Amino acid sequence: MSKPWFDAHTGHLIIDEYITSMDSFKNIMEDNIITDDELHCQAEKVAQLLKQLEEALPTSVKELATEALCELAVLNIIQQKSRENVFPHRN
Amino acid sequence: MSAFNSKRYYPYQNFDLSLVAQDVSEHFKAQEFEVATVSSISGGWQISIHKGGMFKAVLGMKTALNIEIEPSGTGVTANAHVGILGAQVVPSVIMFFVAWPVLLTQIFGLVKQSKLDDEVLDVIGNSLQTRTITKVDAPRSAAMVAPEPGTNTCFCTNCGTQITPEARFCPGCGTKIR
Repeated sequence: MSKPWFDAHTGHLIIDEYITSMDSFKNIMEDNIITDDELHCQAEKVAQLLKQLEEALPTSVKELATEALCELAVLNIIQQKSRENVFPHRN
Repeated sequence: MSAFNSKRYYPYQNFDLSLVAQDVSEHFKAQEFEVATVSSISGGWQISIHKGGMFKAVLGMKTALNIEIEPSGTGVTANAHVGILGAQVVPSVIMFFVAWPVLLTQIFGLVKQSKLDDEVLDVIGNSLQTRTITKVDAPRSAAMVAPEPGTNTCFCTNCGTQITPEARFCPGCGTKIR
């Protein structure tokens, strides 16, 4: 059975619950140190997964996935900009 | 001001906000909320309230409604927002989590829907009203108690000092006489 993205009862996004069991996340949380190698390795892993996803998805679903990724990126940018407006001296 | 907080100003000068924190804590513990309180160096308090179902854990950390109560010049301000239980700031690991803005919106949406933020701000207001030392509001004025029949004696309703019917201010407490 595939992993759901949302909790069927509460409607909450539950992707973070899968992250806590991933080795790459556990390693970062254990020593709280991020090396250049870890960063490079994680970036490579993400790029590889996105390539696999792009090849596997049918066109219509790929468009939806592209839109979701782009909108998520926009949300993160406006969230960061919003924080800068509230706390202009942070970051 | 962020879209994800509820803020209220109270025109009270209270010099022991720990009693207010205690009132809020007891109110929500009675409703089976998990409550954590932390004092700040500015004389304020942060209160975290959490209950399963409404507050989802994010990356293994319990989220909560965090309420900061701070003395603010002529009064007190309270600011309620979603944070981590017992923590004064959201850890950077969550701030950088790609789905955090989505989760923050969802959790704060449930807080607004259940009016939990209004409830906590009301509890703070009631506590301040009960325990306050000085209320700061419009310039003070007091009514004058009518003179006794056959006498020319009046009293200030604020402090009880005897005043003349012509007095515009109480000689005892300085209150303006209406």
